[in-house]
Amino acid sequence: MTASLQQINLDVLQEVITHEPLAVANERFGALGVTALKNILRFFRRLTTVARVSEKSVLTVFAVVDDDLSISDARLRRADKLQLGTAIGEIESLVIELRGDGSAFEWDDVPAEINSSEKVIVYRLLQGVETFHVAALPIVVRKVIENSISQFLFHYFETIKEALCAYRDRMARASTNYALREAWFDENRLWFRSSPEFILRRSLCEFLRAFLRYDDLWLRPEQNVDESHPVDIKIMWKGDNREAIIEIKWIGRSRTKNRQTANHGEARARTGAKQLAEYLEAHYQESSSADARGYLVVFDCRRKNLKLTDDMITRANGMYFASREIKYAPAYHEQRHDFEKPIRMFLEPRCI
Amino acid sequence: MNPLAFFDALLLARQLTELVQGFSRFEIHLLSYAACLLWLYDGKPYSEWEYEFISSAAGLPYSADIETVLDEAESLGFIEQRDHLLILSPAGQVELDLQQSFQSNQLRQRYICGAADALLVLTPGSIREAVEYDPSLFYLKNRRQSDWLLRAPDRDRLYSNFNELRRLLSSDASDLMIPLITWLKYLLKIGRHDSILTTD
Repeated sequence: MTASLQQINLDVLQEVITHEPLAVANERFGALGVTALKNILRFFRRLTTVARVSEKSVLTVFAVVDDDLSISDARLRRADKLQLGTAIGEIESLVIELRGDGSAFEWDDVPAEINSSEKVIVYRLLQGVETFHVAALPIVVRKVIENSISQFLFHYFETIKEALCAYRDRMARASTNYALREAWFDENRLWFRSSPEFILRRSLCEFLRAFLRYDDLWLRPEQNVDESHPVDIKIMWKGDNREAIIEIKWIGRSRTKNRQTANHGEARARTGAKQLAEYLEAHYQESSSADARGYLVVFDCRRKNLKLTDDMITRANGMYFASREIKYAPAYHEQRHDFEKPIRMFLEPRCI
Repeated sequence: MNPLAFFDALLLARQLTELVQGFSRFEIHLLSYAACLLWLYDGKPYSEWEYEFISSAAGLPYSADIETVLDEAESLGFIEQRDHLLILSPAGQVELDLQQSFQSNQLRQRYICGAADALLVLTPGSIREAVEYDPSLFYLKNRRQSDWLLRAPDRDRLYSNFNELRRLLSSDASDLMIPLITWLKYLLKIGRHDSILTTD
């Protein structure tokens, strides 16, 4: 890998520049354009404190670079000064103008003057796709964080639990996460591929890395297949000397083209809980100064009445385990202060 | 205590407190390194940055001078814990205001702010991932070694790479955030592609 990075790839670098809105704004408008675009980005930081976006959100934010573009009259009739204070919740449709003095105006709709204008920078979020129009030149924002609807309007999670629940609800349930999709053998998500462990933990790790703040994060390497070692992901915060230990298990079935390779039930999750509890106890006994907390994450792809020849499944069989929680005995999360309640992530199939 | 590192850390502390509601110590190390990269991008001698970096056990840039000044800042109450992050305290803001008036700190502000502004576009996690793909850091991390960063010939490689970047950014970018964002996204693109090839 190092060879490709030692020699700079000019084609890739040029492509990055071509699709970088700030670079384009600098080229078209100079420092004025960069300032206008950065004002939009700073506004996003403020907006995320009171609002969130979804796949359905339609958001337009524009900044006029050249004062000759006259929308002052229209602003008086169709826009109100925006005060960001109370929570907005999920954005359905919003049109915002940012002026040079930092003030923001909410418009009834997008003023016609800015469409195809060469004197304005416009950000649009529509159907989960973000674009900047810089002097009418459209630039689609390339995703750095694959798991996020917006590259700018997102929240950092404050706790691991919050992050894991968000991953479960947004990424795992419908296998929305691109990395997670690689774990499936079939399109209808009935079977995992053989040995999907590294794909699962890498998928979760990438999500946590993007949306958590931490000092250090360790991911168990792919080639480490020691099932008895419970630490799959370790996250450290040096400031208050905390650690999060994440153990990942999957239950359900995996296969190759011609045979089933694994069929795991609830017992595997209970084994994972025991391993994690033993690890936490050993950690505690060693009197490590770090305050460790354990999280058991169970990827659940169980299907009812699944046969090797099946490539489709009814809703009744596919969703049979959707609400069937795993019974843990002993319930380490009730006995230990350092053991968080296990989080089961049921991965839904495509049903007929 | 290195006074320039002290200023850099306080200024970064303020920027991160404003932009992302706080910071971890690792993020200060990371962004001070990014600011140093911008210093090199601008063709300035590495020796005039006045403190150095090594690669940590985690394969990321680390500066003993930055760590020392963070200890000092915390003991003086200039930075304080809020939930799981650190923030610049009101006393820290007063100290920073004073530090910003010093002539010796004027030149560095542009590089520190350029690095911090990258957080308008990339998360700390993404910046971290991009820096991990730097050839020197990647090499050392894979071998679980720690060594000085930005020494020749590695520094010469960067000067050369940044010359190309400056050439391709056809307009002079007065805002240093632009070359930094471009460089980090380039590292992410190349590094992720190569990681997939390695995994396959």
